[in-house]
Amino acid sequence: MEHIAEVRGLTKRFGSFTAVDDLSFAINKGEIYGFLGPNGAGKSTTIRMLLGLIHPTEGEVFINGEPFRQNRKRSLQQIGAIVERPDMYKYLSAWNNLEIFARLSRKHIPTGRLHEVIELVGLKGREHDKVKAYSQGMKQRLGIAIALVHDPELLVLDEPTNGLDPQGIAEMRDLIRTLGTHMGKTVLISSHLLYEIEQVATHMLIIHKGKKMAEGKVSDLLNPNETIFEVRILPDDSILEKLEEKGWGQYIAEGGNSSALLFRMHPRKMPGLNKFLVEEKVHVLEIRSKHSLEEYFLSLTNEQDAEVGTV
Amino acid sequence: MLRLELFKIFRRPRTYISFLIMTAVTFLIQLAMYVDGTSFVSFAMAGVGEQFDIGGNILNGYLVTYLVLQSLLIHIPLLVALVAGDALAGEANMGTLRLLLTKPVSRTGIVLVKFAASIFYALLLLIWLAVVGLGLSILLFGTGDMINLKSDAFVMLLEHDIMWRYMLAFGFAALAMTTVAALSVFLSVFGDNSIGPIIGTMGIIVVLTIFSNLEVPLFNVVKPWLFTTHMIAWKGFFDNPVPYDAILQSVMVLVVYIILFIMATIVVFNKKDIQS
Repeated sequence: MEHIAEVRGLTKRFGSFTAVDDLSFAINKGEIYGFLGPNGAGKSTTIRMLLGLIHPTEGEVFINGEPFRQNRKRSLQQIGAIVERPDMYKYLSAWNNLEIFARLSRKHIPTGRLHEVIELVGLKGREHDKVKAYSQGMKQRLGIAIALVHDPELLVLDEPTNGLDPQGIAEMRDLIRTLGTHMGKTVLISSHLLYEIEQVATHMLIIHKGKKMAEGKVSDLLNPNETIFEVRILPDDSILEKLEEKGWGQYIAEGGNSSALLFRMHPRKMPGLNKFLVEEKVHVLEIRSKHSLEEYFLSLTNEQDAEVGTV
Repeated sequence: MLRLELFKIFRRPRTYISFLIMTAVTFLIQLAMYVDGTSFVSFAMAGVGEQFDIGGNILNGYLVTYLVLQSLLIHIPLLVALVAGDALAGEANMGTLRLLLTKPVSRTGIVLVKFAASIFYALLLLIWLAVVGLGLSILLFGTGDMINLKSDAFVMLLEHDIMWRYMLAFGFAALAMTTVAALSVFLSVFGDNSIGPIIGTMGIIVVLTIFSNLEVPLFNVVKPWLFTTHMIAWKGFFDNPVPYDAILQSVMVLVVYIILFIMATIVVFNKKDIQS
């Protein structure tokens, strides 16, 4: 399958702080790709690097197979995005805002298309109101209209349900489903809430402290018959390759630091993995089971909250 | 893109504040001159009148315009900075910069368009000043020979010999304000709100103007290199003969500053991580 967006070895350091650490993932056409992580996990920084707002310290982004850096304009023509809050020119009407950003997309966009997206996001009748009179939910929908107006292949929506009331959240969810299922858009949607992603996404990626924790189909990752094992070992550079080689395909990703590994597998397979690690002379410090990815993600979020609490 | 930028600028109510302020200051000076101009002129001419016999309409539109220009010397850069300092920092503050940069437009293009729009705005301000300052002053006070009082001399300019000087002075002022706009846009690249760049621009201009005006040997070395020294070269057009060489040199210094500010803005903005 063709990757619409691919990220290879993306790293961003701000001074001594590493916000995103050697992150790689790929999004295929037609997927609704959930990007999940606790607050401060590096989601927004990754999204900003994907869109060229932040320059990566290392690594590269590819859009439709082409390196973003060398093809910035062409890449951005294929993307529509909302990054964090949907901010617009508040002193202008929604229509004026839409017109401005439509023209900046460097495609010929007929006025009919503007009406079409206004109607799609449910702002018909309010399009000539000034944005400063808009509620958060209306701004969010206008943000989606702006992201959609040039008919991009990939939509990047950074925490699109933030600040919305329950009804707004439900409407946003429906809109994202419509975009993915009925309009065939590929959507990258980020959130710090697992159930948000679970409800709309077909695939997901979990990051924590800038590192990939888990990636795959939502249905597989949330499979209740499988257990998540966190295996803590003394740092060993070669073990990741060996695990891959020997077909421990359930291996998900390295954990928050280089000495933690994550596996998703049926509990019966665990002794075999343990044996393999011992044979490979890997020093296993601890094996912990988390019953589900949900529980695992919750533990990450709690850990993050505890850290914030102690600061 | 430039049209969109101008649309954004001129749909903001605060853009028109500058025009109102300038109109108000000009009108106040004109009113003061209209009410009490004769005593002002006799006070200013006290020393001269004893040695020279001066007749005719001295308190005319040309003199009043010159006074208006002198008074607005420090204000116009502030008014230009209000818009130019907002160019990039204002977008960062509103949160629209990240949306703008997710569109397929180059960062260099954005800087150039912001700069061009700021120049356009500065030019409009000057044209407006010409209309209310020069136009209205001539209407109110008529025309006549102009006496340009300097600290150590006075220059007498004949009525038919003045208009072209104003045209060139306004042209030079446009270049000086372009320098201010370029400085403001440059400072704007560092800010996440427009207050910093606006105050920064004014701070730099005030401090450098003091350097340019102080007669201290230490400052004399740097003076020829400061853009503030050259921004006031428009006054040269009201000398007789006009010191074209000095003015041309000032033009060149200002052009170099403009190019440097814009190039620096482009380099910094292209490297900048957008975190607003």
